[in-house]
Amino acid sequence: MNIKKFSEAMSEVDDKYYIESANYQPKRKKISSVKWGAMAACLCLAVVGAFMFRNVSLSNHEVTFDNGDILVFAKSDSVGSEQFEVKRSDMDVSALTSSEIKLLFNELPVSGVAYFDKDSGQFVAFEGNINNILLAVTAPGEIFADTIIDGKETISEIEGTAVSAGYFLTDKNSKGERTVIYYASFKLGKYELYVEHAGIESNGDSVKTELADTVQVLISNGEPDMGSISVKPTE
Amino acid sequence: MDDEKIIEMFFARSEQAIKELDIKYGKLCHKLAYNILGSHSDAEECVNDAYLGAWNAIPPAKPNPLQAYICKIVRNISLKLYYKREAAKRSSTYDIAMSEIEEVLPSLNTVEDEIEARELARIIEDFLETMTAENRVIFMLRYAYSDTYADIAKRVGLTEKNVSVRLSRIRQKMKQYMIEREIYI
Repeated sequence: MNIKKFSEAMSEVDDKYYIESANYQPKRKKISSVKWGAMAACLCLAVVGAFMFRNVSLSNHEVTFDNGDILVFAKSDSVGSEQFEVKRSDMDVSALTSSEIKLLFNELPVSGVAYFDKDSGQFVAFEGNINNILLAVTAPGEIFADTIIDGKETISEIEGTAVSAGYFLTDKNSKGERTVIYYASFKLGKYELYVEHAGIESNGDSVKTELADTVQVLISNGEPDMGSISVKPTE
Repeated sequence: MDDEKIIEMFFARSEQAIKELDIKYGKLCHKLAYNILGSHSDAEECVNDAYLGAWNAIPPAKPNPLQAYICKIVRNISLKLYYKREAAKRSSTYDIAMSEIEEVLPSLNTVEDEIEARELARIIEDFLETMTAENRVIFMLRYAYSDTYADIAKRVGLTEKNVSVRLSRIRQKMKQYMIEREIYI
Protein backbone atom coordinates (compact mmCIF):
# COMPACT_ATOMS: atom_id res chain seq x y z
CA MET A 1 0.00 0.00 0.00
CA ASN A 2 2.87 2.37 0.64
CA ILE A 3 3.54 2.81 -3.07
CA LYS A 4 -0.08 3.81 -3.61
CA LYS A 5 0.15 6.31 -0.78
CA PHE A 6 3.43 7.70 -2.07
CA SER A 7 1.85 8.04 -5.48
CA GLU A 8 -1.19 9.79 -4.00
CA ALA A 9 1.12 12.11 -2.11
CA MET A 10 2.96 12.95 -5.32
CA SER A 11 -0.38 14.06 -6.75
CA GLU A 12 -0.82 16.34 -3.74
CA VAL A 13 2.53 18.12 -3.83
CA ASP A 14 2.37 21.81 -4.55
CA ASP A 15 1.69 22.93 -8.13
CA LYS A 16 4.91 24.91 -8.24
CA TYR A 17 6.97 21.69 -8.33
CA TYR A 18 4.94 20.39 -11.29
CA ILE A 19 5.39 23.69 -13.11
CA GLU A 20 9.10 23.90 -12.31
CA SER A 21 9.85 20.43 -13.63
CA ALA A 22 7.59 20.66 -16.69
CA ASN A 23 9.18 23.93 -17.78
CA TYR A 24 12.77 23.36 -16.64
CA GLN A 25 15.51 24.64 -18.91
CA PRO A 26 18.99 23.28 -18.20
CA LYS A 27 21.70 25.84 -17.56
CA ARG A 28 24.09 24.05 -19.89
CA LYS A 29 24.84 26.14 -22.92
CA LYS A 30 24.51 25.09 -26.50
CA ILE A 31 27.46 25.74 -28.74
CA SER A 32 26.70 28.91 -30.62
CA SER A 33 27.56 29.45 -34.24
CA VAL A 34 30.15 31.99 -33.11
CA LYS A 35 31.82 29.34 -30.99
CA TRP A 36 31.70 26.86 -33.86
CA GLY A 37 33.32 29.54 -36.01
CA ALA A 38 36.01 30.11 -33.42
CA MET A 39 36.58 26.37 -33.06
CA ALA A 40 36.82 25.93 -36.82
CA ALA A 41 39.33 28.76 -36.96
CA CYS A 42 41.38 27.14 -34.19
CA LEU A 43 41.28 23.82 -36.03
CA CYS A 44 42.54 25.48 -39.21
CA LEU A 45 45.33 27.13 -37.27
CA ALA A 46 46.20 23.83 -35.65
CA VAL A 47 46.36 22.00 -38.99
CA VAL A 48 48.19 24.72 -40.92
CA GLY A 49 50.58 25.60 -38.16
CA ALA A 50 51.00 22.24 -36.45
CA PHE A 51 54.72 22.24 -36.84
CA MET A 52 55.11 25.88 -36.03
CA PHE A 53 53.03 25.64 -32.84
CA ARG A 54 54.25 22.30 -31.57
CA ASN A 55 56.74 23.74 -29.13
CA VAL A 56 54.36 26.35 -27.82
CA SER A 57 51.25 24.19 -27.55
CA LEU A 58 51.03 25.05 -23.85
CA SER A 59 50.50 28.68 -24.65
CA ASN A 60 46.77 27.91 -24.70
CA HIS A 61 45.90 26.92 -21.18
CA GLU A 62 42.21 26.38 -21.56
CA VAL A 63 39.83 23.64 -22.59
CA THR A 64 36.51 24.19 -24.36
CA PHE A 65 33.85 21.57 -23.68
CA ASP A 66 31.20 20.37 -26.09
CA ASN A 67 28.59 22.40 -24.23
CA GLY A 68 30.56 25.62 -24.77
CA ASP A 69 31.92 25.93 -21.21
CA ILE A 70 35.58 26.93 -21.09
CA LEU A 71 37.94 25.87 -18.31
CA VAL A 72 40.81 28.35 -18.02
CA PHE A 73 44.04 27.40 -16.22
CA ALA A 74 45.92 30.40 -14.84
CA LYS A 75 49.71 30.32 -14.58
CA SER A 76 50.99 29.74 -11.10
CA ASP A 77 54.53 30.43 -9.93
CA SER A 78 54.69 27.57 -7.49
CA VAL A 79 52.60 24.79 -6.04
CA GLY A 80 53.14 23.52 -2.53
CA SER A 81 54.91 20.20 -2.51
CA GLU A 82 53.17 18.80 0.53
CA GLN A 83 49.54 19.22 -0.33
CA PHE A 84 48.27 16.05 1.20
CA GLU A 85 49.51 15.98 4.73
CA VAL A 86 46.82 14.87 7.09
CA LYS A 87 46.86 14.92 10.84
CA ARG A 88 46.57 11.15 10.93
CA SER A 89 46.82 10.84 14.70
CA ASP A 90 43.20 11.81 15.31
CA MET A 91 41.73 9.97 12.37
CA ASP A 92 40.77 6.51 11.29
CA VAL A 93 41.65 5.50 7.77
CA SER A 94 39.63 3.17 5.63
CA ALA A 95 40.00 2.03 2.02
CA LEU A 96 36.74 2.36 0.12
CA THR A 97 35.03 -0.70 -1.29
CA SER A 98 34.17 -0.91 -4.97
CA SER A 99 30.46 -0.47 -4.20
CA GLU A 100 31.20 2.68 -2.18
CA ILE A 101 33.37 4.00 -5.02
CA LYS A 102 30.55 3.36 -7.48
CA LEU A 103 28.01 5.09 -5.26
CA LEU A 104 30.25 8.12 -4.79
CA PHE A 105 31.91 8.49 -8.16
CA ASN A 106 29.75 6.52 -10.58
CA GLU A 107 31.85 4.95 -13.36
CA LEU A 108 35.07 6.88 -12.68
CA PRO A 109 37.97 4.48 -11.97
CA VAL A 110 38.66 5.91 -8.52
CA SER A 111 40.77 4.29 -5.83
CA GLY A 112 41.81 5.69 -2.49
CA VAL A 113 41.26 5.97 1.21
CA ALA A 114 38.90 7.96 3.37
CA TYR A 115 39.68 9.57 6.71
CA PHE A 116 37.19 9.69 9.53
CA ASP A 117 37.19 11.54 12.80
CA LYS A 118 38.18 9.06 15.52
CA ASP A 119 35.60 10.29 17.99
CA SER A 120 32.55 11.02 15.87
CA GLY A 121 33.23 8.64 12.97
CA GLN A 122 32.34 11.52 10.63
CA PHE A 123 33.88 11.73 7.17
CA VAL A 124 36.81 14.17 7.08
CA ALA A 125 38.55 13.64 3.77
CA PHE A 126 39.18 11.35 0.85
CA GLU A 127 42.52 11.00 -0.89
CA GLY A 128 42.93 8.94 -4.01
CA ASN A 129 43.45 8.71 -7.73
CA ILE A 130 41.49 8.52 -10.92
CA ASN A 131 44.00 6.65 -13.06
CA ASN A 132 46.98 9.03 -12.76
CA ILE A 133 44.96 12.02 -11.64
CA LEU A 134 45.13 12.88 -7.99
CA LEU A 135 41.77 13.47 -6.28
CA ALA A 136 41.06 14.88 -2.84
CA VAL A 137 37.65 15.51 -1.28
CA THR A 138 37.28 17.34 1.99
CA ALA A 139 34.39 17.85 4.35
CA PRO A 140 33.29 21.41 5.20
CA GLY A 141 35.73 23.22 7.46
CA GLU A 142 38.46 20.61 7.04
CA ILE A 143 41.80 21.73 5.64
CA PHE A 144 43.07 18.67 3.96
CA ALA A 145 44.39 19.78 0.61
CA ASP A 146 46.67 22.42 1.99
CA THR A 147 47.66 23.60 -1.44
CA ILE A 148 50.10 26.46 -1.51
CA ILE A 149 49.59 28.35 -4.72
CA ASP A 150 51.59 31.43 -5.56
CA GLY A 151 50.07 33.32 -8.41
CA LYS A 152 46.77 33.94 -10.02
CA GLU A 153 43.82 31.63 -10.16
CA THR A 154 40.99 31.98 -12.64
CA ILE A 155 37.41 31.10 -11.92
CA SER A 156 35.64 29.30 -14.77
CA GLU A 157 32.03 28.20 -14.78
CA ILE A 158 31.61 24.56 -15.78
CA GLU A 159 28.02 23.29 -15.91
CA GLY A 160 27.10 26.09 -13.52
CA THR A 161 29.84 25.22 -11.01
CA ALA A 162 32.65 27.67 -10.23
CA VAL A 163 36.02 26.01 -10.86
CA SER A 164 39.33 27.55 -9.87
CA ALA A 165 42.11 26.16 -12.04
CA GLY A 166 45.78 26.73 -12.68
CA TYR A 167 49.03 25.22 -13.89
CA PHE A 168 52.65 25.21 -12.87
CA LEU A 169 55.83 24.47 -14.80
CA THR A 170 58.87 23.03 -13.00
CA ASP A 171 62.48 23.82 -13.84
CA LYS A 172 64.15 21.60 -16.43
CA ASN A 173 65.40 18.25 -15.18
CA SER A 174 68.69 16.57 -16.10
CA LYS A 175 67.18 15.51 -19.43
CA GLY A 176 66.20 19.08 -20.16
CA GLU A 177 62.46 18.33 -19.71
CA ARG A 178 60.04 20.35 -17.68
CA THR A 179 57.01 18.96 -15.87
CA VAL A 180 53.67 20.66 -16.13
CA ILE A 181 51.16 20.34 -13.29
CA TYR A 182 47.52 21.18 -13.91
CA TYR A 183 45.14 21.48 -11.00
CA ALA A 184 41.59 22.54 -10.28
CA SER A 185 39.44 22.95 -7.21
CA PHE A 186 35.69 23.35 -6.93
CA LYS A 187 32.81 22.79 -4.56
CA LEU A 188 30.12 20.17 -5.06
CA GLY A 189 27.40 20.67 -2.48
CA LYS A 190 29.22 21.00 0.80
CA TYR A 191 32.39 19.18 -0.24
CA GLU A 192 35.58 20.68 -1.65
CA LEU A 193 37.21 18.73 -4.47
CA TYR A 194 40.78 19.11 -5.68
CA VAL A 195 42.21 17.35 -8.75
CA GLU A 196 45.74 17.46 -10.03
CA HIS A 197 47.48 15.92 -13.02
CA ALA A 198 51.11 16.14 -14.08
CA GLY A 199 53.20 15.13 -17.08
CA ILE A 200 56.15 16.18 -19.17
CA GLU A 201 55.66 19.48 -20.91
CA SER A 202 55.49 17.97 -24.40
CA ASN A 203 52.43 15.96 -23.26
CA GLY A 204 50.89 19.03 -21.67
CA ASP A 205 47.85 19.16 -23.90
CA SER A 206 46.73 15.63 -23.09
CA VAL A 207 47.45 16.17 -19.38
CA LYS A 208 45.33 19.31 -19.46
CA THR A 209 42.50 17.67 -21.44
CA GLU A 210 42.40 14.58 -19.20
CA LEU A 211 42.16 16.77 -16.12
CA ALA A 212 39.46 18.97 -17.67
CA ASP A 213 37.41 15.91 -18.70
CA THR A 214 37.67 14.54 -15.17
CA VAL A 215 36.49 17.86 -13.73
CA GLN A 216 33.48 17.80 -16.04
CA VAL A 217 32.54 14.21 -15.17
CA LEU A 218 32.86 14.89 -11.44
CA ILE A 219 30.62 17.95 -11.78
CA SER A 220 28.08 16.05 -13.88
CA ASN A 221 27.96 13.32 -11.25
CA GLY A 222 26.90 15.93 -8.69
CA GLU A 223 27.63 16.11 -5.00
CA PRO A 224 29.29 12.89 -3.81
CA ASP A 225 27.42 11.62 -0.78
CA MET A 226 30.51 11.27 1.38
CA GLY A 227 28.34 11.13 4.49
CA SER A 228 27.05 7.73 3.38
CA ILE A 229 30.41 6.01 3.87
CA SER A 230 31.80 5.00 7.22
CA VAL A 231 34.93 3.62 8.75
CA LYS A 232 35.27 -0.15 8.45
CA PRO A 233 35.45 -2.16 11.67
CA THR A 234 38.97 -3.41 12.33
CA GLU A 235 39.33 -7.17 12.03
CA MET B 1 -2.73 31.27 -25.84
CA ASP B 2 -2.61 32.58 -22.28
CA ASP B 3 -3.99 30.33 -19.56
CA GLU B 4 -6.25 33.18 -18.52
CA LYS B 5 -7.90 33.31 -21.96
CA ILE B 6 -8.44 29.55 -21.92
CA ILE B 7 -10.09 29.87 -18.49
CA GLU B 8 -12.28 32.67 -19.84
CA MET B 9 -13.42 30.33 -22.62
CA PHE B 10 -14.29 27.68 -20.03
CA PHE B 11 -16.32 30.28 -18.16
CA ALA B 12 -18.07 31.27 -21.41
CA ARG B 13 -18.81 27.54 -21.95
CA SER B 14 -17.02 27.62 -25.30
CA GLU B 15 -15.87 24.21 -26.53
CA GLN B 16 -12.89 25.99 -28.04
CA ALA B 17 -11.51 25.97 -24.47
CA ILE B 18 -10.91 22.20 -24.71
CA LYS B 19 -9.23 22.60 -28.09
CA GLU B 20 -6.93 25.33 -26.79
CA LEU B 21 -6.19 23.32 -23.67
CA ASP B 22 -5.26 20.37 -25.88
CA ILE B 23 -3.08 22.52 -28.16
CA LYS B 24 -1.18 23.93 -25.20
CA TYR B 25 -0.90 20.97 -22.82
CA GLY B 26 -2.16 17.95 -24.77
CA LYS B 27 1.29 16.55 -25.53
CA LEU B 28 2.45 16.87 -21.92
CA CYS B 29 -0.78 15.29 -20.63
CA HIS B 30 -0.61 12.41 -23.09
CA LYS B 31 2.99 11.66 -22.18
CA LEU B 32 2.17 11.72 -18.47
CA ALA B 33 -0.75 9.32 -18.93
CA TYR B 34 1.27 7.09 -21.25
CA ASN B 35 4.13 6.89 -18.72
CA ILE B 36 1.68 5.51 -16.16
CA LEU B 37 -0.39 3.25 -18.39
CA GLY B 38 2.04 2.21 -21.12
CA SER B 39 -0.71 2.37 -23.73
CA HIS B 40 -1.42 5.19 -26.15
CA SER B 41 -5.12 4.39 -26.44
CA ASP B 42 -5.56 4.27 -22.64
CA ALA B 43 -3.57 7.48 -22.35
CA GLU B 44 -5.81 9.19 -24.86
CA GLU B 45 -8.90 8.01 -23.00
CA CYS B 46 -7.56 9.38 -19.72
CA VAL B 47 -6.58 12.71 -21.24
CA ASN B 48 -10.07 13.06 -22.73
CA ASP B 49 -11.59 12.20 -19.34
CA ALA B 50 -9.35 14.82 -17.76
CA TYR B 51 -10.57 17.43 -20.25
CA LEU B 52 -14.14 16.47 -19.39
CA GLY B 53 -13.25 16.75 -15.69
CA ALA B 54 -11.85 20.21 -16.29
CA TRP B 55 -14.97 21.16 -18.29
CA ASN B 56 -17.19 20.13 -15.39
CA ALA B 57 -15.05 21.78 -12.73
CA ILE B 58 -14.38 25.13 -14.48
CA PRO B 59 -16.39 27.12 -13.50
CA PRO B 60 -16.67 27.45 -10.55
CA ALA B 61 -13.02 26.42 -10.24
CA LYS B 62 -10.55 28.96 -11.59
CA PRO B 63 -7.29 27.04 -11.54
CA ASN B 64 -4.02 28.88 -11.46
CA PRO B 65 -1.66 27.55 -12.69
CA LEU B 66 -3.71 25.65 -15.26
CA GLN B 67 -0.81 23.45 -16.32
CA ALA B 68 -0.33 21.83 -12.91
CA TYR B 69 -4.11 21.56 -12.50
CA ILE B 70 -4.65 19.61 -15.70
CA CYS B 71 -1.53 17.49 -15.11
CA LYS B 72 -2.80 16.45 -11.70
CA ILE B 73 -6.22 15.52 -13.10
CA VAL B 74 -4.57 13.45 -15.82
CA ARG B 75 -2.29 11.82 -13.28
CA ASN B 76 -5.16 10.93 -10.93
CA ILE B 77 -7.39 9.54 -13.69
CA SER B 78 -4.50 7.56 -15.14
CA LEU B 79 -3.67 6.14 -11.72
CA LYS B 80 -7.31 5.15 -11.16
CA LEU B 81 -7.30 3.26 -14.43
CA TYR B 82 -3.91 1.81 -13.59
CA TYR B 83 -5.10 0.42 -10.26
CA LYS B 84 -8.19 -1.00 -11.95
CA ARG B 85 -5.88 -2.95 -14.21
CA GLU B 86 -3.39 -3.73 -11.48
CA ALA B 87 -3.70 -7.43 -12.05
CA ALA B 88 -2.59 -6.99 -15.62
CA LYS B 89 1.01 -7.21 -16.63
CA ARG B 90 3.13 -4.43 -15.14
CA SER B 91 5.43 -2.86 -17.64
CA SER B 92 4.94 0.90 -17.70
CA THR B 93 7.54 3.49 -16.69
CA TYR B 94 5.31 4.20 -13.70
CA ASP B 95 5.73 0.58 -12.50
CA ILE B 96 9.47 0.78 -12.80
CA ALA B 97 9.69 4.19 -11.11
CA MET B 98 7.47 3.03 -8.24
CA SER B 99 9.35 -0.22 -7.71
CA GLU B 100 12.55 1.83 -7.36
CA ILE B 101 11.07 4.07 -4.72
CA GLU B 102 9.34 1.23 -2.86
CA GLU B 103 12.71 -0.02 -1.67
CA VAL B 104 13.41 3.18 0.25
CA LEU B 105 9.97 3.87 1.74
CA PRO B 106 10.09 3.09 5.44
CA SER B 107 7.01 1.16 6.52
CA LEU B 108 5.42 -0.14 9.71
CA ASN B 109 3.03 -3.02 9.98
CA THR B 110 0.62 -1.12 12.19
CA VAL B 111 -1.98 0.91 10.37
CA GLU B 112 -2.35 3.46 13.21
CA ASP B 113 1.12 4.85 12.70
CA GLU B 114 0.78 5.29 8.97
CA ILE B 115 0.85 8.79 7.62
CA GLU B 116 -1.87 10.34 5.47
CA ALA B 117 -1.16 11.09 1.81
CA ARG B 118 -1.71 14.81 2.27
CA GLU B 119 0.67 14.94 5.21
CA LEU B 120 3.19 12.89 3.28
CA ALA B 121 2.93 15.38 0.41
CA ARG B 122 3.96 18.19 2.78
CA ILE B 123 6.95 16.14 3.94
CA ILE B 124 7.94 15.43 0.34
CA GLU B 125 7.70 19.18 -0.32
CA ASP B 126 10.00 19.88 2.63
CA PHE B 127 12.40 17.27 1.29
CA LEU B 128 12.24 18.83 -2.20
CA GLU B 129 13.28 22.15 -0.67
CA THR B 130 16.52 20.60 0.59
CA MET B 131 17.56 19.73 -2.96
CA THR B 132 19.13 21.70 -5.79
CA ALA B 133 16.70 22.82 -8.51
CA GLU B 134 18.18 20.30 -10.94
CA ASN B 135 17.82 17.37 -8.54
CA ARG B 136 14.30 18.49 -7.64
CA VAL B 137 13.35 18.51 -11.31
CA ILE B 138 14.90 15.07 -11.84
CA PHE B 139 12.91 13.73 -8.87
CA MET B 140 9.63 15.27 -10.07
CA LEU B 141 10.07 14.14 -13.65
CA ARG B 142 10.67 10.60 -12.44
CA TYR B 143 8.13 10.24 -9.65
CA ALA B 144 5.39 12.72 -10.63
CA TYR B 145 5.57 12.51 -14.42
CA SER B 146 6.99 8.95 -14.50
CA ASP B 147 9.45 9.95 -17.22
CA THR B 148 12.10 7.49 -18.43
CA TYR B 149 15.77 8.04 -17.61
CA ALA B 150 16.36 8.80 -21.29
CA ASP B 151 13.68 11.50 -21.32
CA ILE B 152 14.95 13.04 -18.08
CA ALA B 153 18.54 13.00 -19.35
CA LYS B 154 17.45 14.86 -22.46
CA ARG B 155 15.48 17.41 -20.44
CA VAL B 156 18.19 18.27 -17.92
CA GLY B 157 21.20 17.84 -20.19
CA LEU B 158 22.81 14.90 -18.41
CA THR B 159 23.62 11.36 -19.46
CA GLU B 160 21.22 8.55 -18.60
CA LYS B 161 23.86 7.10 -16.30
CA ASN B 162 24.16 10.41 -14.44
CA VAL B 163 20.40 10.57 -14.03
CA SER B 164 20.38 7.04 -12.66
CA VAL B 165 23.13 7.88 -10.15
CA ARG B 166 21.43 11.12 -9.11
CA LEU B 167 18.12 9.32 -8.54
CA SER B 168 19.80 6.59 -6.57
CA ARG B 169 21.36 9.20 -4.26
CA ILE B 170 18.12 11.16 -3.97
CA ARG B 171 16.22 8.01 -2.98
CA GLN B 172 18.80 7.18 -0.32
CA LYS B 173 18.60 10.74 1.01
CA MET B 174 14.82 10.58 1.06
CA LYS B 175 14.95 7.32 2.99
CA GLN B 176 17.29 8.91 5.53
CA TYR B 177 15.12 12.03 5.68
CA MET B 178 12.02 9.97 6.47
CA ILE B 179 13.71 7.70 8.97
CA GLU B 180 15.13 10.71 10.85
CA ARG B 181 11.63 12.14 11.11
CA GLU B 182 10.09 8.76 11.91
CA ILE B 183 7.85 8.89 8.87
CA TYR B 184 6.26 5.57 8.03
CA ILE B 185 4.10 5.02 5.00
